[in-house]
Amino acid sequence: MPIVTRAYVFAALLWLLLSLAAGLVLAAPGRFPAAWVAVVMGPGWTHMWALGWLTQLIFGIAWWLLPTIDRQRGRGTAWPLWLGFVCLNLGLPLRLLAEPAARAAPAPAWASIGVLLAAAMLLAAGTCFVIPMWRRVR
Amino acid sequence: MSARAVMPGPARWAVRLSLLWLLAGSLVGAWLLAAGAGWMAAPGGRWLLAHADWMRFGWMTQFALGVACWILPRLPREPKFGPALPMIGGFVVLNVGLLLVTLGLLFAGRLLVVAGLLGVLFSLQARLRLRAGAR
Repeated sequence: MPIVTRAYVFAALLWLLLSLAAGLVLAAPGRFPAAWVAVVMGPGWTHMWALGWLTQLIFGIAWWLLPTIDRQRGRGTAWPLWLGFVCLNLGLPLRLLAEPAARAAPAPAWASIGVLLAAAMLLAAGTCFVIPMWRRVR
Repeated sequence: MSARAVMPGPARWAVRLSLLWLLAGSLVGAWLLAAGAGWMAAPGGRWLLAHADWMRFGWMTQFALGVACWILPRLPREPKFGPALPMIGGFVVLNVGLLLVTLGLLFAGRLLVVAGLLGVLFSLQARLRLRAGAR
């Protein structure tokens, strides 16, 4: 299994654990600090399992599994996948922290900038997967 | 080159379309997120539903089924990939359904998405019953 695949799968499993824990917070919000509840409420929890767990697992396994470009080039260069890995695993926690803060009135300036940065990083993570994978789908 | 090195046509197109839905869904998701923090004009609620359906069905489900069409054990006799019409038709109907969801025709769109997924699963069902390695 390539190293980049291992990194994606390991991170995906961590996000699975985190999203399961977040599910507990959502099931009994009164038992946990309000800040924790705010982070996982709304779209936060959905993105923890859909993006952090499922999408990240697919990205990693697809890089390993899909047909190679050709015999010489193999899977091709992995740096876009590494860049996507960093963007996804920084962008997702940034979103989880900044989005609830940006909804508060008045919203702190860092939260608004954090949301914009997270949006750009998550978009970049998807793009960094699609571009190298496109020519491998053959 | 082994038969596994190249995907069959329907699988190839399903995976390519799923990558396009991933890009489109990521773009709309980033727009929704930035709009929520006041950086852009807020899109209508229709776009949130479209984003969710594109990612759930257009990206994840279609990618998984496309890869399944390629990787599942093949039938011992023709058609080795299972009946082609429900598979190709299923993927076409699924993507038309997602376009209808985008146009705001939620019920009709989701109906087609379900029909498309059932078509692909029908096509795969004989292969799903085979033991791994039986090809």
